[in-house]
Amino acid sequence: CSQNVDVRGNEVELETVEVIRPGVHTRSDIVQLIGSPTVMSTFNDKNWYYISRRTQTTAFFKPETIEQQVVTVSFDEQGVVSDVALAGMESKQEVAHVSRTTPTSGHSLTLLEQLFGNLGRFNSGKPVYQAPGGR
Amino acid sequence: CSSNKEEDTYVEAPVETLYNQATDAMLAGEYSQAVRLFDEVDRQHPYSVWATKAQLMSAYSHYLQDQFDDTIIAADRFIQLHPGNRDVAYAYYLKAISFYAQIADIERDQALTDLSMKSLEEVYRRFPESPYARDARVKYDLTRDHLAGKEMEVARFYMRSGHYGAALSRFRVVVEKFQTTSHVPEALLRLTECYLAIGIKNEAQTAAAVLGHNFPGSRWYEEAYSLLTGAKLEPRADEGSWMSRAFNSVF
Amino acid sequence: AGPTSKAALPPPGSTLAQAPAAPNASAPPPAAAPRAPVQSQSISSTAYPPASQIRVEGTQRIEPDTVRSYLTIKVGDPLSPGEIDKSLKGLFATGLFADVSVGVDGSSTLVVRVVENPIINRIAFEGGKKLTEKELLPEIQLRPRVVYTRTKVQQDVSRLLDVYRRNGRFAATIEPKIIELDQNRVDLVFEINEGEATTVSKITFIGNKEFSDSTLRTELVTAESRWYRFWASDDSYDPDRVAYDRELLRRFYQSEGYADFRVVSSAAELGPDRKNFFITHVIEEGNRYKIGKVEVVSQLKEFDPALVKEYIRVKEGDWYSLSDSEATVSQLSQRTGNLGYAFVEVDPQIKRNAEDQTIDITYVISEGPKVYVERIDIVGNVRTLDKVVRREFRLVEGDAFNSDKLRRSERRIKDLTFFKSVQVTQEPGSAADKVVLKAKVEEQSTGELSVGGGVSTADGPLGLVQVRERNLMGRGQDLSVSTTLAARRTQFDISFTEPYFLDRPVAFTTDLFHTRRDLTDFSSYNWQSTGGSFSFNYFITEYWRQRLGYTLRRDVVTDVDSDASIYIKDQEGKTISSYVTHELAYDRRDSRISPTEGYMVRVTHDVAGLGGTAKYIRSKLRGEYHLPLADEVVLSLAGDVANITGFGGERLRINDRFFVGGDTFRGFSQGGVGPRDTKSDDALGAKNYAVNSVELAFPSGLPKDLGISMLVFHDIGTAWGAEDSGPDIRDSTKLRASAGVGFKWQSPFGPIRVDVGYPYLKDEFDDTEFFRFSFGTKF
Repeated sequence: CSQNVDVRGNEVELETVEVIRPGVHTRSDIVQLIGSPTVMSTFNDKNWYYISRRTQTTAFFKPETIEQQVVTVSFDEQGVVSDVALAGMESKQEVAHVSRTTPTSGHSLTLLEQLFGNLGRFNSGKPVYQAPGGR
Repeated sequence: CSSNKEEDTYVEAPVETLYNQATDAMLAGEYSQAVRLFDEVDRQHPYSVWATKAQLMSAYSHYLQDQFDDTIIAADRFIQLHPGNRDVAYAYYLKAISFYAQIADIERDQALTDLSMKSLEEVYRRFPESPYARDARVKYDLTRDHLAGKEMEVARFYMRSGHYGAALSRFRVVVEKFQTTSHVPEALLRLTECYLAIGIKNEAQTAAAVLGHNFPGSRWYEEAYSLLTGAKLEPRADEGSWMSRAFNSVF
Repeated sequence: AGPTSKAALPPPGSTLAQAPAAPNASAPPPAAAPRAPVQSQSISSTAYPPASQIRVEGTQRIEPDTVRSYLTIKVGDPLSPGEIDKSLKGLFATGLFADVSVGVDGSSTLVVRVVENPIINRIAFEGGKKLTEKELLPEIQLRPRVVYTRTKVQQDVSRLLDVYRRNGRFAATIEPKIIELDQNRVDLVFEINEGEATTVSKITFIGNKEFSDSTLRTELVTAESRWYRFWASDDSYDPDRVAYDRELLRRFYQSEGYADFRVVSSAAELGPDRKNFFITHVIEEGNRYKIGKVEVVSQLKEFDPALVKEYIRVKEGDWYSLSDSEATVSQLSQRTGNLGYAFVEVDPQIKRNAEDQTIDITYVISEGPKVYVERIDIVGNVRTLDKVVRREFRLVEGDAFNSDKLRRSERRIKDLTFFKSVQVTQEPGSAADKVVLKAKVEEQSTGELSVGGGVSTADGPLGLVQVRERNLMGRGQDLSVSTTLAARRTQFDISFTEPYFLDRPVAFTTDLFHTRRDLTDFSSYNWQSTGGSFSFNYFITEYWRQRLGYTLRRDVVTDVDSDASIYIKDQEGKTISSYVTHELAYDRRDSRISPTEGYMVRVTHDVAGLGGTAKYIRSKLRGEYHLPLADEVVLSLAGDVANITGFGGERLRINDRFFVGGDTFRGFSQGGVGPRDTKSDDALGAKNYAVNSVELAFPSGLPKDLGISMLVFHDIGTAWGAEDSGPDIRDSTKLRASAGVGFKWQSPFGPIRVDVGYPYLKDEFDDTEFFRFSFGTKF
């Protein structure tokens, strides 16, 4: 039985990466060549990151990453390509994510309200909370 | 409101007695009775000065019974009829907090959050000196914080299933667009985690450095620090000075 | 009445200023307008006088301040006519006033005279029989205590006419009437004359040679009105539905090989009595095409089309079918996408060769535009959690956009059954090659409170109460609590399912049950079973499904009749069975609830013995094959083979044995086939059975909406292997067989099912049962 392979993110073909010439191409050239980045560096858009991942999923097991590629294109102040870097599977690391999350509020329905709350609400066709008034 | 037959049985009373009966009902906590009487004042004596007051009090009585939809409708009607009235600020405020009270938790539709943000903003921008402006401003910030929470929730969903590209762009949105919210420290930690997971070390260090710089005491920074040291890296700011300037301006 | 003509103010703008100053010296100034130039002179030469005071007249309900707030002129501003005109327009735009006039009184007092629009006191609908006030009121904008304006009333009248047109009342007319009250209040009455219902009485086709009018009519959405279809609404004339019919006709013909088919025209004429419509579709069938050469060509870099050739659903020599071709396109793009090619577009190029009436299809696989998903926003989920919808998406943010994955995502969200409508729209992203997907869902009630009653041969009269919530706490979990009280059975059951256990596509189900059955008629004892189980259900691949479970049960055999078989008497007492279940299934059916096509093979093993007193291995093998012969005619073959063998010297308890008959073998009572104690005529249950059943289901020929369907069945098989041995026990491996007819009716009171089976092949000690029926209502 064939496991299915999924391609996630923006998988840039390697030949196109070789075409990029630092010192010549500007940001708009890069967008023409390999599209806009998956994510830019956090506080400035100096580095563009093209992140992609190939996963193989069998049955209910967690999708197993069989290939990961990060293409980094860095620009200088004038917006011209200063460097292109390619990182593969070797840079992948298992990270234990912190489970704590920032608390938020918001009205969450109690069990009974959920169970019976909407029996009448939907069937009577009354809109649940439509913004009223002529706006 | 009540069906036609019942309405005719309402005795036509002078406006003052009707209005006072309504106020007494409200003070006694008989809110639905108060609403009916206030509406009667408005219906029977549309031109008395009390009618205007009654419309506002009827909206308030709805609010006291947590009938937020009706409160919003009544407040809207008052605003439409009496935009010049000196109490119109209160009507805008009543409408805003009615939306605010119905905001759903972050895992669900945030349409009401947008509505409450817009109406709260309307209050403190149109009536800056009104007594409600300050509270509207505080609630506005809380609502923005809530929206940031929604972004974080989706980002964490993708992070947990290993889609780091998607998670990173969402965490970046929180750091870029929601800098004043309570979620920024956690977003910075998540950026550190995700960048480390896909092996982009300098971004991980930058995020951790900004976290340490702005939230030195927070547990998030401790976790980021141990993560980096675990991976034999120490948090240093990326050489771009833009980052620290941008952040200091905010805090 | 439009705005009254303004006071004698000169038109605005400086052009006027020059005109009077330029007459040639000799001609005396025209005597006709001595005052005007002077006035304009004074106005143009000095700035307009500032407004010293703004007087508002005619307001009753609205405060003068409110009127002033809409004016663009404030005290102290110059009284320029331009500003005055703007204020006039502003006041009108509020919709609060029936009439407004703005003028200058004296030199600097601005006078605003207004006549307020009345306030609506009450709204009533008269003459409406088919649609009540409750249905009409939400449709209109006006409400009691709201300002009355003529434009709003006109808009409401047209809205009401739309509602009537949608209900097939094209001849309806609506007259709004005003009743003046004191204090500028009005009562608004809509006088409605509904007119006759305009239904479709006849649908005819011109140019159809291959298919009769009646077959084509079943394809349409609009139906002819008949006296017995009094509750139907699809026979009213609705132009959108007729347009949709044209599309249905096209799809029908194109899936039967008529590639050139087109609908020349569809006309709907109103009968002379204006009560019903005659619809005529003029069509051109064209000739019927067979499929000629089929190829797959790839324009993708190093992609060998042979890899996906097997997924082509269109075979040479078959009749051309649009739906098969579309299925092929979807399969090809999905399979190619699966092999890692992100931007795949498959477009079928069709070449018609008229001489031999064949069609050659070349599927060209090319690279679509490079677009990436920037964000997926889910909107409208008031109760359902965001992740419950998001985890059904086959696309992740940042992924390459693929329309086939999008379609499958939308299908998966719909299959959750939590939503009335699901629409995923694409909106432009922050960059040219980015798209934002917006999933707009509208929730529906997923809670069910069903109270049922019924009678069945197996259980006698029964009552059922069930509460079920399919989307518990918006988390996609399914919780159901049900109790059944019947003459011969009481059952209490709680079951809970989490479809994504630990966020993985593994359905975790757990349930607790307590059942009491009175089996005196068949084996003269009562049986009670209490216990619980949990199981994991997941897909290994698209078609292979696996289930692992564990059950712990306490069974009690009690109230054994005095004249019961001795072999049953010694079964009295309690047993604990704790068994593990493993099930593997290969399922290619089109649906698990009511399959009409495809096949399924399933093997199940239960191993009891991890603790508890019962020790056995029970294995079952089931195969199903469904073949659609024609529209709604389905031939189904099903085969069951099962065996249970004890181990460790433990005797098989009676309730673990197989009681074949009733639903599992029609024509025989429950346990009617299999070992029996002939002295006490009690069924003892068999250790093995093999039964095959063939069913042909077909519509009853009566009109569809009566919901009657018939089936003819033939069951053949046997059950053998008694646990005990003794003189009066009869057991045989002889084949039994029965044939009969079944009848299902979805009556307004609930599903009624009757099966009549004649066991033409039986052993003389078998217990037959000629007639079975069950009738139950759930509302």
